[in-house]
Amino acid sequence: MTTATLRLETSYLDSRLAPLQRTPRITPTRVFLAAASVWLLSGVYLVAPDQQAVETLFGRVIAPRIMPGLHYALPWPLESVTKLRVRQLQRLVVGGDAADNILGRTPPLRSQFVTGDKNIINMRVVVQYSVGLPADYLFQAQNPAQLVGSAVEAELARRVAQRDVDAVLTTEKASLQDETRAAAQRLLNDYRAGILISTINIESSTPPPEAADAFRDVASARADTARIVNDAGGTRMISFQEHGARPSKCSRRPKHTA
Amino acid sequence: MRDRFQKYYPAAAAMAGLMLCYLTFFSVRETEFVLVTQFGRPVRTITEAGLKVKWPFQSAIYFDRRLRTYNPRPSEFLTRDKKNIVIENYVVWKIQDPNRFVQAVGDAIAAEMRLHDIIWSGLSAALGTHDLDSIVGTEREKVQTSSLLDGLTTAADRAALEQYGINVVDVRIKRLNLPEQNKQSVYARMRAERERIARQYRAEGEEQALSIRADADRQKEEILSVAYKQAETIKGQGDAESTQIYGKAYSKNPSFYKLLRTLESYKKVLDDKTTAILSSDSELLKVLMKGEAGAK
Repeated sequence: MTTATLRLETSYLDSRLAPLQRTPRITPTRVFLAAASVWLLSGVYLVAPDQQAVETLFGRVIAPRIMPGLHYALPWPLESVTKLRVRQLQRLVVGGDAADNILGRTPPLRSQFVTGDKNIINMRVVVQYSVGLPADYLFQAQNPAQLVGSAVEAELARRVAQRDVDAVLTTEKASLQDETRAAAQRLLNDYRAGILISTINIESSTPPPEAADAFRDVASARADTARIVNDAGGTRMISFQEHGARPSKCSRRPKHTA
Repeated sequence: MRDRFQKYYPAAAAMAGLMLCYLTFFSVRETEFVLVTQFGRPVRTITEAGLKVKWPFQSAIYFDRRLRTYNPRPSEFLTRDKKNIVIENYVVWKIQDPNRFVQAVGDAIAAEMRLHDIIWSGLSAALGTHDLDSIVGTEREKVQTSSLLDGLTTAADRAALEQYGINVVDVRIKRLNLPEQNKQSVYARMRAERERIARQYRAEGEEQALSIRADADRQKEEILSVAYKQAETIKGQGDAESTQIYGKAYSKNPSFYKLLRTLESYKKVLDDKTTAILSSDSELLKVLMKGEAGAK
């Protein structure tokens, strides 16, 4: 590239920039107006589809629930907007050793619950919740997650303490989950925590390791019973077949088939 | 000299005005209570959020009014029937009266210590009047945990509000457990219970199997006896029928019948090794000796 072409290009650039350099004079009023409009425009905000927002004016809630979309609020420091992901499910573990370690709880209680017939069982429950009312969620409790955990744990402990161990481990597991969810939700509503519990899932409920083999033996005893009864039924069929007869009517059928 | 500074007056005034605004107006958030103090003396309490005004020489102290959760350490209590139980509870509380709170307590940690005292003594007193079965038990109508806790909450709230300006929203039992030193015996009892249940299952199974076998035997006997009876009847019928047929045949041609019968009896009696010694007038020989006339 020669110097001549370089000079040509700079002169071209000058001619293009000339109109811009002829901008209006910068006066204090204009600066002020520009700043004011920028300030006013800064109040435009967007709420994403999975979010909801709360608007406060000088700290006072003026709109507790703003739905997704484009909105306007008076700019800082008059109004402020807090956005929350309301759809997002948050997960919390009650009981279980890992969670206890994180909470720094001393080992003895671990994940143990006492049942109505004074048996000890280990439970691990997973709670899923989301934000119900954003304003309450933001302003009512210091630590909403802790409140959820405590409420669920309390309701669970109370219900486990009213059932016997077999019910908790097997038959009433589902009703235990449902009742706990409903009761914990009621409790959180009383606290106005703005939280919606979506599911409570008893992930594991097991007898303590110290007595686990005895529990397993009961299960195998149940299986044994079924086997013995089935054997007897089989013998019965065979003895009939040997005599070329068919059992007319069975007055006693095996009760345990499980 | 004066002229030189005169042009800064508006700016200075604006600065001073802003400063005054800053000292006079303050916003209170939803999460806060504000205590306005004048030279350290509390003047008024603001419990409502929004833009508020005070004198510039007054100052504002902010308090978090949100619900707090306090988890005392699990502790052991004695029930009325002298049984030990370990209870871990949680307390939901908040500052209700900032003025009293700042004077009597100061900060959250001190508040929790005081709450611990109130609730611990309340809980141990309440448990002292209840049996273990009314906290842990399968008889639903006997369990009174909620009423116990409701009473405790009300009492604790009254005391805490009066003394410390704290509102105790809720006291709940988060976890129940048995004392560590009792656990081994609990495990032993659990095992014994399970073993009993297992035995019971097996015994029930045996019993059922036995009754099924007995039932089968009984049915077998029944069926066999019915079958025997049927067989006898059928045999009898067959015999009767055959006799009847024989009778018919005889009546048609008695001499031929007699011949046939005699031949049949030969077939039965005689084979290649038979040596028969018979009297000459034996019925059997008649046909052989006399021919056709013998059959008559």
